[in-house]
Formats: sequence, C-alpha cells, structure tokens
Amino acid sequence: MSELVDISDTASDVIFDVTGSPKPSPTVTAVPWDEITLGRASTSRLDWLRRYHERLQGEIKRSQCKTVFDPDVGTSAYAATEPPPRPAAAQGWMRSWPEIGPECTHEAIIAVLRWWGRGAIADRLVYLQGLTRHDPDEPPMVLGSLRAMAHLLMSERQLPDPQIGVTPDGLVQVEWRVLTSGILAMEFLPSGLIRFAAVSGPARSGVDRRTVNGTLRKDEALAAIQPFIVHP
Amino acid sequence: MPLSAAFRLKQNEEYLSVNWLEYFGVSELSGSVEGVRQAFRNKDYQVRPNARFAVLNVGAATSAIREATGTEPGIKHLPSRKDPSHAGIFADTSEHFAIAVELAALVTSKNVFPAKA
Repeated sequence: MSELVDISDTASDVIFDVTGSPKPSPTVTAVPWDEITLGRASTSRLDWLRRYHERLQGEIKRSQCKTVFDPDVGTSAYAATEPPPRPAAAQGWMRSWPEIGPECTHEAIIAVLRWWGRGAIADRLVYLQGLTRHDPDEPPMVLGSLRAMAHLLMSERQLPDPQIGVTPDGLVQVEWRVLTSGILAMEFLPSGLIRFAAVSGPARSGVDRRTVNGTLRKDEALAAIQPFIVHP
Repeated sequence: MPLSAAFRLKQNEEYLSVNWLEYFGVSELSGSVEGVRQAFRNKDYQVRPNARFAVLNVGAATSAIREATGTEPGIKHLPSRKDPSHAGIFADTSEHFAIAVELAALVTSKNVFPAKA
C-alpha cells in the first residue's frame, strides 16, 4: 500500500518579486563593490545595481531600522553564494550596514537580508509574502519568527542558503538537505527559541543513523545540530 | 524537493491527509497518481502550478513515524464520495515537527509527481 501526500508549494523554483525589485545574479555579485564605487567596473550593466542600492537604502531608512557601521562586515551586499568579504574600510555611499531592530517590518527585514548578501532568501521571502496576499488559506508570516530567522542567518554567515517555508501556524522554517539524504530543519518561535529536528538519512530497519530534535535557545540549538551542518 | 513543512498538520487537523494508491487497482504508478489528480478536481481543490505529490511506502512511513514518536501510527482508509481513495495518517501530534522531518527524508526526486498533469 502506498500513500500519496499533497506537498503543494514545495519548490523554491518559482520565484517572483512582487515589489519589482531587480534580482541579483551570481554574475553581478562577482563584481567587488569597491571597484564599482571607484568606477573601475562602471558599466551600464552595473548602473541598475547602484540605483537599486540607493533605493534599498531608502527603504531601510523609511522603515526606521537601526543602521550601524561595522568595519568587520564586507562591502558586497549582493553576494548570494558567499559571505561578504571583509573590507579594509567602508567607502562612500556604502558606509553603514543595516541591522534588524524590534521595529522592523517584514519588508524591512527582507531588505536587510538582501543587504547582508542573502538575496536568494530575500527573493523566496518575497514570494512567500506574496502567497499570503493572494491566497487566504496561506498563514501570514509571524514577524517575530521572521526576525529570529534573519538574526540567525546574519550571525551565522557560514551557513549556506536554506530552503525556506512557512508552517501552517505562520512560523518561518528553514531546511537543508544534508549529508547524503538527511534533513536538518529549524523553525523559529517568536520567543526566540528554535525548534529543530535533523536526521542523517531516512529511517530504514537495520541501518544506523543520527537523529536529533528539540527546542532550545539559539546557541544551544546550533551546538545540537553541529554534526549535521555541512559547510559549502 | 518538498520542505518538511508540507507534512505538518494544520490547526484542527487530526491526521495527515493522504490517498491510498492501490485503491485504483492500476499497475502503473502514473495511473494511480492520475486517479488522485481526478479526486482533487472532484473536490475542487485549487492546486498551484508547482505543487507536487509525493508517493511514500506505507511500511517506510510507519517505520519513520515510529522512529520519531516511539509509537505506532494509525493509517486508516477514510473514503468520501468525491475521493474514495482518501486516507489519513494518525500520529502523536506533539511530535509533529520530528514526524514531518522523518517523512520528508523519505522523499526523493524519484517519488515526486506533478499535482497537475
């Protein structure tokens, strides 16, 4: 007897940007920002990036998010696949780096994530936000959960981009396929706790595997799932 | 690949809603899946273009849930007029997060089918 389970909205392959924001591509991300600011890589292909940056800065300021200057943070805001590099110093209009404060809206948090080099995640979140607007059955994303997820991905920049979904009760869930056929999943409670579960592979009789699950604070949860984290 | 969130129970749901493929009496898996697509149309379910069905073996799903909860899940045939193959997986909902991850781990690209033909 086989069972068929409906897994609607499974893929992250359909990504659209309801705000009309341009989507950074790996090709574009490869260009160092200091070269753009110094004009060495100034091409028409990059002009939209500068305009986009200026617009993004405006969005973040309008949302009244806290902005800070962090000399340890890189200058590439659009590196979708790598953590931002460490610059010698921020330059010109790339002076301040946004952080997520308690007053940030969904849109502001997504903008900050994009700014921190998590463009693919930002695109996915925009898509998920769009679903809730167009489908009354889709639960709205809980703001505190989104904030907690963003904090984790901004502080743990070595983590590769996860798949992202929203649970039936509106909590943000991130997930990685790990090892050969395992899964590491985390969902973010508004309290700041992280519920997590990981398996190193599917359950098969007679086959040893590692599993872990629980609900813990961020640092404790990260320690618990450490064996499952695969660095890119 | 599906996220494990796809296997989570919604509020007020008592069981994970599934379909019993052998009900259709078709030897080809594609034929059984088409039967489920028809059942969804009968029930006027809206299916997104990127929606997928995952086919799981009952024995494997039972074993996976047992691993997560330590208890035996119940799988019952729950036919309705518009969906005679309908069934449900009943399990300890307090462990639903771990159950969902266990079930998602059973899914590979080989047992996923488009929900729209």
